[in-house]
Amino acid sequence: MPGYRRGLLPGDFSATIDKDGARLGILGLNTAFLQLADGDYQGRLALHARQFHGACGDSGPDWARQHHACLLLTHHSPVWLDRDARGQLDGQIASYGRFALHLCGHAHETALQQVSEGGTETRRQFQGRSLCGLEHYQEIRDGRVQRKVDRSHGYAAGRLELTSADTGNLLLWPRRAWKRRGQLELIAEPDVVLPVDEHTEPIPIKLLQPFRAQGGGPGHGQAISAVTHDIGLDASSSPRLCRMPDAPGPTPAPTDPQAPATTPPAGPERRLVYLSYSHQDRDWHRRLRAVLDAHPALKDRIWDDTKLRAGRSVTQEIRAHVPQARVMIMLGSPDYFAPGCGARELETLPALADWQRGDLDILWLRVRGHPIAGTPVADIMAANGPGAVPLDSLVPDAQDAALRHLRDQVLDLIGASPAAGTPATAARFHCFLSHNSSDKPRVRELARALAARGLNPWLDEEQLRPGLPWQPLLEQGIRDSAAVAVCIAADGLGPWQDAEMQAALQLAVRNPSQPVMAVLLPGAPDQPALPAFLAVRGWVDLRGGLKADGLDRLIWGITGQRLGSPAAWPGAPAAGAQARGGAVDEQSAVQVVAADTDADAWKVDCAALVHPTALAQPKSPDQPTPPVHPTPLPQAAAPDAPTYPRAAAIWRKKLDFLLEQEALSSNPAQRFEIAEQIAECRAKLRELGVQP
Amino acid sequence: MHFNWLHLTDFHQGLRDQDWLWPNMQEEFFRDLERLHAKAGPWDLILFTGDLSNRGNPQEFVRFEQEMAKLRGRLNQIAPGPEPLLLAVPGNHDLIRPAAKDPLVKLLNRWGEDPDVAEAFWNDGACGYRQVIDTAFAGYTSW
Repeated sequence: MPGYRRGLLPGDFSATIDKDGARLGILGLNTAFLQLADGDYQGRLALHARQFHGACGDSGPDWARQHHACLLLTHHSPVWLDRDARGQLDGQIASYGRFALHLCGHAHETALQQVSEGGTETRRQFQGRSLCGLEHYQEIRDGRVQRKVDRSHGYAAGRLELTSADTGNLLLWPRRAWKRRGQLELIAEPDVVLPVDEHTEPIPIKLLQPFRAQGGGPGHGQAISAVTHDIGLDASSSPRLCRMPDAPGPTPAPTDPQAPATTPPAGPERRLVYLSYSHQDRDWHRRLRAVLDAHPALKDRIWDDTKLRAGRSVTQEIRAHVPQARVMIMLGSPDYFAPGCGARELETLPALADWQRGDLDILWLRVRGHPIAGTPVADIMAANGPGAVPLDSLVPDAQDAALRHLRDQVLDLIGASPAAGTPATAARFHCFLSHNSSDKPRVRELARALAARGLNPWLDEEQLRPGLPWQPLLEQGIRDSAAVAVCIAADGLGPWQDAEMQAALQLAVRNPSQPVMAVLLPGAPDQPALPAFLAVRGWVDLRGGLKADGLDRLIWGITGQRLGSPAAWPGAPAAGAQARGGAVDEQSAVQVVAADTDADAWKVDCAALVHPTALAQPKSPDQPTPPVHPTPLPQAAAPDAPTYPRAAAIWRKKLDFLLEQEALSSNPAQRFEIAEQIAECRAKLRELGVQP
Repeated sequence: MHFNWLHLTDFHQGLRDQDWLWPNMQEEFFRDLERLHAKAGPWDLILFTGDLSNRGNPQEFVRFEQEMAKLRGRLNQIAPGPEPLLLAVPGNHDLIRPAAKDPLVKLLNRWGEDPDVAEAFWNDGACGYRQVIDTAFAGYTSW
């Protein structure tokens, strides 16, 4: 073809396109000649001005000047070049605003970048999406190796308009395949801001030589003016920059220093913690929500698609809430980063744009294995640290730790204290049901009854996966439960139940907010033989069967929340409580203990079931008034008695137990934890007016 | 007055699974071209920024040329007129990889560490390094 010249290396060329008196120069340079094998070549490839001059005959600059505008084509973006080659590109080849646009590919992702350093002419670079990018990888799920393919398809149309004798405009229509209803459709590229009619705002360029349209009139200029007028834009306006990754992945880069400073309109207050995920990861979402919801500082700030209101537009609701996000949590997985994932278009990409502006923080957690390179978050440090080990490759304990770590990072970002009100564990179950296997039918009934009341009990036959060693799973079940119920019937404690109970008690020492209680089932002896530490925690008596009031009591012990109204509680006339001169409110749970000691149907030591910290906390006016038995109170009513004798006795017993444990323990870490517990006991005793 | 182009890149002709994944995508690609043509066409140029093929062998370039012929045919259906000119640069998949143990290849891999390699490469068009590169891109050059 006329105007085509080969260059120094294979693939180097220059070409001139003449059209209606305008001359467009195209320079193509080979940047791939050193990438001769597998491996990481980023920052290692070469390019030289000799290629430029060689492709242009003799002098690259002379060739360029013969055109009104020029385009540069290379396979790699500059980030793949070594330092010398970048110097060659910036200082010798693409210097002096010689190329209106540098087109490249290789990374399979779209990126538009515009850079001006030190007041030099702006360099513009457009990295196109692969027409057929298929990235193969393997994923191990449920012990099976699965082959996966990440697809990236797209292309772009471009236009160079010559708008006047000296200026022109660039317009780009980047396209990208997007999965909708299971099929791929090409749409306007979401990774680039395309404000009008699926193209970029016009990017003004200076022509390399004056252009006089054939026919002498301003006809072309008029035509172009008409286009820009139609879309309501000023052709001379400065371009608004899109995402500007300067890396194979969509790496956010600083905005163009030459671009006019824009002040975004004041948006809604950003206070939400937005949870973005693929529905394929709904189990992870549920687990994370349980951890986040348990923290009082987060409970009312979480927003995700479970909060969508029926009958409202999903798109509008999401678009209304993303700008309110202070933190966006993304659960990274192959499905989440798949082009067709609905979250990506509505949540991920808008959030990334906000992140680039510094308007919100992104915490992304790699829950399932997938290639990070090429994802929109490739340049953002994962919440699970360098390397972002996928959560599904971890043991459950480590998974929970990672979820809690993420929660702490969220708290840090919103300025809340991780310690405040934080449960020591991320409980997945309300109650671990420890029992003798001979009592299984009754315990199964109990589990069903608790489930019917909205609780999620841990029962071995439902949770122990066949084929796996079950002792560690038992311990994990205890860790994952907010409370432990040691169920006792005629046969007493079973051999493993005893071990479970010991494990639960050990954990309870470290985590005083995890109630551990005995539950007496039908057939249990009148005086069950319980280890001292369990005995002082009292028991829930279900020997008469699964009656509603007994279950209420158990749920109180498990959740710390009392159900029903005070009037409905047995033997609890509110007037009687008031008649005690307000002592009920002040004495709180301790009086419950005293009052219930005499009740036939209720033998639960509520002081042990209420979280220990509650003993020292003032009672909230809206908390239900504890019932007071009408019969005389053996201790609490005596005016000279210590204010909280029973509570003091419990803390004293706990202190004695801890001191004993401290003497026996040789593990420094354990001793440290015990020492902290001892200090807490002593503090409580002092608060109760007892010398520890 | 304006120049219009289509920018295509990274087709990787011959890539595993492309044989069954591409036909549906191609159909959508052609549909989308028709949609976009009304806004951004007709196109004077097709600019291809590398990785036309997957392994750089001549058969892949033959197949790639067939794909481009289909594209041109489709564009002509959308708007009969002059055929857009295809201009391309090679990518790292458009070369046949030389033997990794070839001493010259090993030296080329030390480009950044040994300045003698780059000096010989740029100054001596007949040097062994350039022959390695010319051979690797032979399939692309023939195309």
